[in-house]
Amino acid sequence: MTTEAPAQTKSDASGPQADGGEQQLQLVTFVLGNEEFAVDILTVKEINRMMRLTAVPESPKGVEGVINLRGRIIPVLDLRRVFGMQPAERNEHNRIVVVEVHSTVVGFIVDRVHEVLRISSKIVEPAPAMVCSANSDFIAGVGKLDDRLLILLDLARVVTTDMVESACAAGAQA
Amino acid sequence: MSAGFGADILNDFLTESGELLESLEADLVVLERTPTDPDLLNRVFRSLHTIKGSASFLNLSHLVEIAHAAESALNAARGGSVTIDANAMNLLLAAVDTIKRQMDQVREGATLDTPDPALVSGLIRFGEGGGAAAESEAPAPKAAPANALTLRPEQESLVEFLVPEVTEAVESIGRVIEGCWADPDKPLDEVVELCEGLVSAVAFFELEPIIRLSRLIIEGAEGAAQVAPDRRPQVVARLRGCACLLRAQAEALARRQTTPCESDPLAARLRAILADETLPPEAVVPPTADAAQVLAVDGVAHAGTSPAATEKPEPDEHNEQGTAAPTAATPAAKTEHAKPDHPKAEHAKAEHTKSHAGEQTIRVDVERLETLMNLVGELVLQKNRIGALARRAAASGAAPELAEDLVTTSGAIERVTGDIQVAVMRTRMQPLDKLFGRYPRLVRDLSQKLGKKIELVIEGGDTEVDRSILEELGDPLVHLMRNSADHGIETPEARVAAGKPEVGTIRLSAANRGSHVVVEVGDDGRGLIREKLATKAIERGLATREEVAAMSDREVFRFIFAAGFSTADQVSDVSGRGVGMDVVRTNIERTKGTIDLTSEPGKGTTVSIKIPLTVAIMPAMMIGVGEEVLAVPLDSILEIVRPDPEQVRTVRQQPVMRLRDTVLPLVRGPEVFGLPKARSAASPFAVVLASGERRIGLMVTRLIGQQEIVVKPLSDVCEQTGPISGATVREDGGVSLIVDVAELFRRHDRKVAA
Repeated sequence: MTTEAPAQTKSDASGPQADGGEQQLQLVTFVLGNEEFAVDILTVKEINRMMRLTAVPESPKGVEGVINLRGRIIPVLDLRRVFGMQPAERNEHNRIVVVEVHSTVVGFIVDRVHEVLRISSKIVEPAPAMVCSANSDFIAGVGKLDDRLLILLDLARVVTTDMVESACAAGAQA
Repeated sequence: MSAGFGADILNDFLTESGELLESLEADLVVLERTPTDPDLLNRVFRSLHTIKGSASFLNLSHLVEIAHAAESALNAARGGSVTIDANAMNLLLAAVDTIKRQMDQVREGATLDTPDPALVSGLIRFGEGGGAAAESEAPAPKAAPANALTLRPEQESLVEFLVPEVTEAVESIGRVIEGCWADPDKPLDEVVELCEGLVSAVAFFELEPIIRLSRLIIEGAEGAAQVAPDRRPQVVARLRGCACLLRAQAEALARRQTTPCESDPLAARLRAILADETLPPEAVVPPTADAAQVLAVDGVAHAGTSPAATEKPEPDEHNEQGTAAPTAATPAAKTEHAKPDHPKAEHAKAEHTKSHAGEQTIRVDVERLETLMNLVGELVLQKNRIGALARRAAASGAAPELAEDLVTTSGAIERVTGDIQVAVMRTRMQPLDKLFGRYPRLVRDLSQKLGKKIELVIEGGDTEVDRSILEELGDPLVHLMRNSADHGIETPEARVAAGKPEVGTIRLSAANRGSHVVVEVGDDGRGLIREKLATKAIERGLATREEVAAMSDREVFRFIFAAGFSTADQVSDVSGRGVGMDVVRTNIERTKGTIDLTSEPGKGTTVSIKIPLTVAIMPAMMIGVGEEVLAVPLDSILEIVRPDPEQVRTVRQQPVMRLRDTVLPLVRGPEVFGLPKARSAASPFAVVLASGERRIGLMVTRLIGQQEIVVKPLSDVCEQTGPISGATVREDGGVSLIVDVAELFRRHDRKVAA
């Protein structure tokens, strides 16, 4: 799985930090469609196989339902829907990535989880305007590896900003 | 200023004094109506006195100052020299407010406010019989305190030299006596010497109390050498008391004031000990007692804390029972019954639990109770799962004996869990009096502000509810009472003209009804006027003229709960901005409660609130809507019917069915819960839901059964927009949503109105 591990040594590209300080980023990467996304490993609580969701009426766009995570009820979002991508058939590769951001615990449904990866912050660049399917508001940066691009997500925005907006939108539709 | 005291001591002070203040406020309001009730006067005085005592222990001098002023006013009333009128009550309540504010400052660690000098002097003047009429006048700063020391000119010129001398002598006497207290073998000769010196020093100034006390100490100190060694501590204990009184005298002298000195009971006791008489048990001072307690045991009002005590008749010198107490300051009497180990704590406790003596309570951090409650919630869930397992095992037919055992055991667990749940819930229950106690003051202030005469009648304050509900109930009740006072009750003139008693009544009552508590706020005011509400409702577009015409009074009155709805012609600073009733309804519905209103023109309005005893765990009916399983709170369900398809009619595009003599509006579950897969699902059952007096039928696909559910919040990511109030975990570990019955009714209303 980790064929790209040496990527961290190739870190001559200038990072987003102007101070030039080099940091090691440890990321969990997952796949949606043809794109590979990454989130900070410290925000990830656990990764679960798909389970039965309980749908919540009139919930915001992207909220597929809720699950029982050891006695705690947490919402699960389909990241494809959040990003406005085409929905896909569920299969055995689907995973629920449970993250905690600002003490909000949320699960994200992704197509599949790829790997855990270390990269240097120096190879991360600010996101170009039109880079992928996801709304660029959610993108913290783009990591350039040998033969692929990693889209680093700003989960705090996915969880908060988007929810408020889409909640309003859902309210308007209802 | 409170530095040096542990947080524990401060917290104890804040909690205990806070509770005392609460009851004090309520008692004061009652006192206004029965200003001469001796029991009430005593109770109020005692509360204040205890607060003052604790505050002075903590060196909260500003708090002591105001408490002292209020206390002297009350004491004068106790003595019968003055009667508490409305003005005096305003002063007393203002003093209570000041103390409350100061306690908040203690809590925050801020510097305490200096009490308003006008307030302090007003109270003191009232206490001196000047009446509180002078309240509005500017304080007279030059007015000499009544107990100023009066001296002849030749004494006057020398007194400034006397003060340091006396202070020093008194300090030394105190120190030596304390030394003898710590070490019983130490001789008391030095004390005799010091006291003789003191007597000669003050003789010229004719400071009679100091002389009397000094002589008493001499007598005791000399006598101590003669008594049996085991009685000696008893003597020294009294000497400490004398030293304590002496110190108060010296302090008064330093302020050029006199302070009453009630040494007679102490002297009597001391002489009794010296004469080797047997003391009644309560007069035997325990070895750990402090000086103040000695005074208390001997029925002496400590001059330093209760200067007004001399206005009382002198206690009987030969009274060996220590029952000088009823006349002297009452806290002393209280302490006599208190256990001696912790004078301070016991003292406050005795005050606090006066009505239920012997009650044993501990204070528990609310957080711990919450944790316990959550754990019980988890336990209930697991219990449900075991129950399901047992049923499955029994149904499978394999190992029937084992299955039977499992069923029996799960039944036993169910019972125990139920008991635990009830026990834990009960620890969280608090009587509504805790809340109701605030309202007499509110109503009193409102009636003054509005120029109306209003009496508040409280019933059923001992009804208990969960503490979270108690908190949620506070604001709505304030709103309702304001409404009653402002809009309901008429002015005295209007009332008389309408042939009603001049004094209006607001009735606040609470009662248990099964798993619910019903709280009612009623008034005998002018009542709601249907036409006025109807006009407003039409103006605001809440309903059309035709619709309103078809509505019952009750339905029209319900418009009052709509947002921004106010019938007051004028906005006053009490109410009328149209936010009240809407907020009330929202708050009540948040606690899963319902609100309803009845009114009769000219007779008054009653708002009744029905709230569940607890919100954390509740019985529910599990229902199937399409493929989903939902929980409906059992309290909201009246019955479940299975209508024939032809019984269901459509009236104005809304489905309804005839249920006995009434027409029951129906909502289709799959539709209202917006479940895509279930939209077409058949829903043959109608669950009849109630909110107040209203009914609605929820059509569902399946009935699954009754279950105890543990309410869990839905994450705020799910912005609770749907008719869902939370979620719960089922026996099989899956999640079920809980139906928000109040929201279903609201939606139905909106749909009908649209």
